[in-house]
Amino acid sequence: MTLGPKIAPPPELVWTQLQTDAETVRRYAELTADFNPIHLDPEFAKGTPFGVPIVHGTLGLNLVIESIERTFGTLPAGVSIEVRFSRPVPVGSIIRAGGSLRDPTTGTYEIFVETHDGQRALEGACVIGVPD
Amino acid sequence: MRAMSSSAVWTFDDFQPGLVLGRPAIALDALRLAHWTAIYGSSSATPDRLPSGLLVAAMMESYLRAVQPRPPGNIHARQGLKFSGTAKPGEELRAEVACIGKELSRERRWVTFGVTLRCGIQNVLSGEIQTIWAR
Repeated sequence: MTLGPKIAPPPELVWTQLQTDAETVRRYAELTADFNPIHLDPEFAKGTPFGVPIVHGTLGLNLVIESIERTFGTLPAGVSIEVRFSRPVPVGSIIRAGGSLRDPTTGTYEIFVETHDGQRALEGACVIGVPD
Repeated sequence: MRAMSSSAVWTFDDFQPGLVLGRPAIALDALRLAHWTAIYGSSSATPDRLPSGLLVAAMMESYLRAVQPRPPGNIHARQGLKFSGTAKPGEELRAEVACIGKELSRERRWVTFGVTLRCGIQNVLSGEIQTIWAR
């Protein structure tokens, strides 16, 4: 555990926010080699249950990881994360990520990504650990 | 058993838990970091350490490169991650992608992939990608 002695886990993670758009998603497609048209092609997306392009799920997950790193300065070794992608995010949405300490004895945070209207797009848990 | 050189899309029946599907290499080059910075900014990166989210992006690329072509309509339902190290700009990651489980449940085809990323001899990330497979 790398928080260091006598440093208690903070009650909240630093909030991070991202305005998504077509360029954001195109960049993320380049980053992951995920060129699925459900993310990139409005015409294709019209024929899907979503009707519009949706953001890559791990684009939001990485926003949570940014929250963790901005909170702790660096990701402590041994960090584990479990999340469920609960709702698609239309491209063009503003998303924000954060987390709340749920168990100080294990350094477990409830983590999430939500859209501007508070709808959870991703939720789960992150175990940071506790100071030695 | 599916031939490794097959060009047909991967279907649920093709997956064999325990089977290694690929071992791609991912270069952590300047272009990759430029894409990252354009999306997320640069506050968590340092000259000696890349943002940990870049490892997650590399994990996804490894999976997508190892398992293709895929049928349209797959759903990335859940994700597990365990971080055990970091990487520096310019380094190369070595991935191993395997099917680690599959299950038919409530008429859904669940397939779980395990991806391990190594940088040199150090394991830096283990990920479990749980999907609902379309076919």
